[in-house]
Amino acid sequence: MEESKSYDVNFFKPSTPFLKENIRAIVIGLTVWAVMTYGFQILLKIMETPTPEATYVAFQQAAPKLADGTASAEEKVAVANTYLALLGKSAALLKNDTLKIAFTSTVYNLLPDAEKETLLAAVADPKANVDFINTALGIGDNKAMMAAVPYGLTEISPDKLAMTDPALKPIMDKFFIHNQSVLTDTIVFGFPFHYLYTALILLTSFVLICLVYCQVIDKMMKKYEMESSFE
Amino acid sequence: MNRIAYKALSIVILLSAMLLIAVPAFAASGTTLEGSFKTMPAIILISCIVLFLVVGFMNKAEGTADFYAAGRSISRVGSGMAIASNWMSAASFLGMAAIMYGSGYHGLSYVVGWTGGYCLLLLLMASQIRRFGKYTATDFIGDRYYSSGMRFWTAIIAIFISFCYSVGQFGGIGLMFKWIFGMNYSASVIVGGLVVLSYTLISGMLGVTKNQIVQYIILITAFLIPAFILTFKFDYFWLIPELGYGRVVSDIVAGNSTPFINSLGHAMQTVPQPEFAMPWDTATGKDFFQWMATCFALMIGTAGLPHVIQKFYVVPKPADARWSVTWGLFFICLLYWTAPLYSAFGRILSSNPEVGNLAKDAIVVYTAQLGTVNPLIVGFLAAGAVSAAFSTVSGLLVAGSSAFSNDIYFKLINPKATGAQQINMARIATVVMALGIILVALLKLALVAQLVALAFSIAGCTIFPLFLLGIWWSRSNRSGGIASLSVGGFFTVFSIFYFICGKFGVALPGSAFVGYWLNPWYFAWIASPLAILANIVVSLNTEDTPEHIRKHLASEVHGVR
Repeated sequence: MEESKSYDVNFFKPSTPFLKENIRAIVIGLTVWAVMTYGFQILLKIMETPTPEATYVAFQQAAPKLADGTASAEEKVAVANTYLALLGKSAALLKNDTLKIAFTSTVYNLLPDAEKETLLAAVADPKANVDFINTALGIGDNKAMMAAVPYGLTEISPDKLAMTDPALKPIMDKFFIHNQSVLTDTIVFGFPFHYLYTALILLTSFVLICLVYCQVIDKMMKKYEMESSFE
Repeated sequence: MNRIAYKALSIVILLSAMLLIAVPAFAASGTTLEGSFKTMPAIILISCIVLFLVVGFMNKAEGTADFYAAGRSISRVGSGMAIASNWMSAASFLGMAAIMYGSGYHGLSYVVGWTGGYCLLLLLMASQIRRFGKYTATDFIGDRYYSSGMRFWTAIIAIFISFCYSVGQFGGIGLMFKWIFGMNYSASVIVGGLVVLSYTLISGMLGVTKNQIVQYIILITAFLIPAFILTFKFDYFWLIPELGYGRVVSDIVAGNSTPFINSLGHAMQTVPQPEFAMPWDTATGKDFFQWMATCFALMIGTAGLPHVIQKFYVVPKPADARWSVTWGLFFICLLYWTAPLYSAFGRILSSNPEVGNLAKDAIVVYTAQLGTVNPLIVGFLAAGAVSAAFSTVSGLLVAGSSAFSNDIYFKLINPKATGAQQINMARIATVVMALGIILVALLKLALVAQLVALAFSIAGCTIFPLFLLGIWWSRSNRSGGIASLSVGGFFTVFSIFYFICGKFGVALPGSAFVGYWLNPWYFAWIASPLAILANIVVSLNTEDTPEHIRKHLASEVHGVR
């Protein structure tokens, strides 16, 4: 190789049989790597459908009736429970006054008259017993929902109840609608499949790609009698 | 390697025995997460640091040659462990679980990005870098692009990367010192920072690689034990906790009730939170593009970090470089497979509003506490986090200060400097860097994982393009390299400038646009391709690379004869 031109190295124009084979192995490895990493996420994105949580579906059916005063007792409970499920989601939401007013107002509205005063008293006292609310909402066996109840209570004026508020819609859309598909709803080893894939399968495949590549290259080095000269 | 592994193993067993003996004294587990001085965790932490120093002294390097040759007596498995320990810092140990705890599926882009990058590194670079035959990333770029200007700027960038990387680590060290010693955050950062600085100054000349094996064994043991305990205690599949926590994720999504309570007496149950696991959920405020961009930027950053690349120069053979990457990745995955477990348990155990807002970066430790894991084991976990940060920070400080003393001071400012002068310069640089890092860490600009991600973005758009084209395209020349570095450097400065202005409340035009598309955690997704493009365009329009460099590249690196 006397000509200086033969010293050109270009990934896309391999000049020797060794480089050709080496680069082919690299391209195969990188393709598998890229498809497994980014291909799956793109698939996840393509297949997803914005899916509301069950409680939000119930809310959307009941809320208009609540506004025009035709809601049944069950529908009021459904609305209150949706507010409660939202409150329980994050510490930031526990500070959202609009949400707390909507929750307290709805609870006030659905309670029997005898307990309305108890609610107003409970609002002022953070240590008050709120079991009657848990019973009214039918959440006596759901400890996570019960834990959120005291945090959802706030002062309201009984003659001007704000049980729904348009300002809550964007917040509810944000927290209750999720990107789901068959990939996220299938449970494998207890995991949602997409989570299992990204957190475990993908990482394992990285190790396997490296392992296979090392073995392929070791063989290639032997075949071309390469690496002994690099030591 | 075997002797070292046995030593480390016996020390781990000894430590565990000490823990067991001391258990009765600590039977009364605390009911608060934060708080006062914790005696046993403090003792465990101090013994770990002393242990590193002792192992370092036992394997003291006699000189530079010995220092580099240290790698040669170590097996591929051993150097894999060293790579893993060098790699895993507070960002892996604390930061990943923190970001998954807060942002759910988005956090997995960090887990994937920080492992998948090793495939790039192995396939495109590891053995080629070893065959090129230099000692540091700066040397490679200085020689390959035959430019002392490039050498200077790469050294500056390497120092800056070490700096950003360390800021995150100091934040993590501060949080753990705060937890163990019950001081406030600022005092903890200062004390923790000074301890790391002294440790680095003392251990700078010691047997680094062997020490890293010990550090790896300690940190992985500390991380895995609570994972077994949590899955066992709460009746999930505990033989392989990495699979067992799957049902925790599903329980969070569905809001299932469990019969257990946490250490504060709250039921282990949450309202349905699909946002914890569903991809790019609106509730997390992160979208599909951000997932992909973060993942990609972290991957190319991995393949461009000077302190990672440098590891391949010290292995005996190119084949060892490849196998040690594979082993390293496996050892890294042992921790990365497990990290999401902490975020899931953390989420379900801290769901009660009474728990309030927890410092996300300490969620790993809080999770163990909330899960009533024995306080001593929690202490060991915290000590593991500090060890992870220590091993990485001391490596980074050494890398940064040697870039200054060797690549800038000796090669460019004072070529006549004696060895002693160089070492003094390195020491001064270490102290100055450490103090600067402490100052910035006190500002608490972002989460640990995010601060570290910034270092990756910088590496991904400055150093990675130079290595990629430098190895695989001989036509890439000095002018192309300068163009590439300028583009990468411009995006770095631009993104950080916007970020800092935003932090201090200065509104700049287009800040929403920049904050989304050129966010400091992932701007490399576009900056890196543009830097590569600049390199290609400018190289094609300027003179060819000198023949001796093309010849070296072709024959030494790619075996063209």
